[in-house]
Amino acid sequence: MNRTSPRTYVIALLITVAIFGTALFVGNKISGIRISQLQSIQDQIAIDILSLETQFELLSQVSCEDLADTPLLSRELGSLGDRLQTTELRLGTNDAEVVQLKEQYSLLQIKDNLLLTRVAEQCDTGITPILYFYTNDCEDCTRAGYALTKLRKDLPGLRVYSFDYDLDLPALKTLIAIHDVLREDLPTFIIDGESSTGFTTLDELTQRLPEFVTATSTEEI
Amino acid sequence: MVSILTWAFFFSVLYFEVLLLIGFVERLRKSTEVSKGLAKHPKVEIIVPCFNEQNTVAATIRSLLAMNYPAKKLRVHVVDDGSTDNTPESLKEFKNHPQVTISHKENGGKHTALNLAIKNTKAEILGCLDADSFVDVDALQESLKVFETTTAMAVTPAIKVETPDSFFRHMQKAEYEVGMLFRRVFADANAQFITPGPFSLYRKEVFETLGEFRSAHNTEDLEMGLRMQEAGLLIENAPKSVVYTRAPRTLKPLFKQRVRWAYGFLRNAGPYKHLFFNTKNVYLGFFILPLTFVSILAAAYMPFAMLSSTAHAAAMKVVEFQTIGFSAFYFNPLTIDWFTFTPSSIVYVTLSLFILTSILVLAGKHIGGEKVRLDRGVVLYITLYGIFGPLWLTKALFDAVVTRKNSWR
Repeated sequence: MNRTSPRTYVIALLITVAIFGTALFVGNKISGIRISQLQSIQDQIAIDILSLETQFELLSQVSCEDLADTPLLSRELGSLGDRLQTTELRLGTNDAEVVQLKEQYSLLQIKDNLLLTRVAEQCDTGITPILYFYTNDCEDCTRAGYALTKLRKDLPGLRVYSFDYDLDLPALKTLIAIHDVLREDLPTFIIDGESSTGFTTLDELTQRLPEFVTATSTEEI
Repeated sequence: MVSILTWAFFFSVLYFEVLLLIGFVERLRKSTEVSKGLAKHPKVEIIVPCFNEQNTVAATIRSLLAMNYPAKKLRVHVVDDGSTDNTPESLKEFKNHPQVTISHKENGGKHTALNLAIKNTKAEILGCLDADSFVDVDALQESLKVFETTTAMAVTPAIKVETPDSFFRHMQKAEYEVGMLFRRVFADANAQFITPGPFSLYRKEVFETLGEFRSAHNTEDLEMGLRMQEAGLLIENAPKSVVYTRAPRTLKPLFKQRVRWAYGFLRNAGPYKHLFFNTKNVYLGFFILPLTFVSILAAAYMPFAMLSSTAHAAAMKVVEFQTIGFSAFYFNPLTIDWFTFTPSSIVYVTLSLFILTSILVLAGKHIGGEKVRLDRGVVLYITLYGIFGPLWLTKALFDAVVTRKNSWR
């Protein structure tokens, strides 16, 4: 004996779909806002870099004193990287927006590094760049990632540029070719132009850094 | 990343809750209760099967005898199912009571105790009351009113927890309040499939037509409910027929009891699988039974899904600790990046479920005539039941899969 009208099941279904849909919508909307935030940070960094590049082009030579007053290179790249990593964990490595953000981020890092190299030719920036190449499926890369995050926090003179080896980006492919980075050697580090591969311990990695970088540690623990 | 299975489970549980809520709203709209007295007072016999219930059985019987019903029409048949404690001693005070019959038999299970009394009864209405439960003075009258005004062949009561005095009893109090809503809404849709041990009443014809109680994996009340549904016999509910049950005080007996219940459902679902997706009773066949089944699977699956992601996060933390030492646990709330706290859609769905469950408990309170407020029980139920429930549901599922037998205690 059926006492409940089919209308009830349909209404229940509609309400469930509405609740479910709202939850999905809110979740996706907030994710979208976060992505927009990342995008806007990337845009700001791009403007900063472009501005500095233009400054170089216009003046052909900038005095080191002038540079001291300029917000030299973006220090936000590091925190942007952390946020990008969080987004990648939540949305997945293959998410189209994540891939696009990572490509833009990699390009910004390459440009930032080029600019840093250019500035360093003229002035003492006090910054040591590390180009770090990794893949998501490499166990040592995970550990190297943790070590570099800690080193970046402890050593203000260190700037870490991390690149996903598998990213399909021509500029990155060129960078990989220039430094002769091989997939089987990952993780690979280019420290001040010197290439080294593999990761064992944090101490061992620290020893690969120039002494003046490690001398300015702000280690909290 | 959330799997499709997780989404499907969430959707099913949410749909189940929405369906219940609609049922509740419809009940509120239809509610035209007239509280009149009984036109007739049929002969009633309440069976109290007991096994090692020395602490509660006397109070159970006293509550039955105190009911507001003509003494000459009410009999209590206590069947001691081979107790090994002092239950026989506790029963001695009723030895010469004119309304009480006491039978002793070898232990054979609750269904055998019930069947012994059913065979010898002359009553028109038969009831069952577990020996750890106590009836309200008007419970019988309220249930009989439903028999009088409907074609019901069985009437279930509103079960409440007697003196919630521990963490688990408070939690169960809210759970039983949701149970009151379940029974009321299911009854409106003719979809009750359990006639619970505490004070379910039956017309005698039920047993003449369908036969006696069966062992049914120690859930004879569930099997009888399913059998009645199979035969198209109406099971009604009397929300004003209040019975108090002594709920397990600690986790161990609670766990044992709930494993038995869930196991009973899973094992009895087999012989009654033809009730699933049966068009004769769409609400029961297409919604209640499948959704109950899915809820058990979901409750068993979800913690594993959560455990697996937690284990992965823990493993990553170990790797981080091995790499950078105690810095892995360094946490400065002042430098926290709120960007990393971006709740995903599944969090909002979970939140919706919490809110909906709270509303259902409050609706259950309303049905049971309780004060509608968010008390300790509701908070414990909403926040912690999801942790404990999966424990026994998983165990029951495991036992059912490997067909391991369950015992009462």
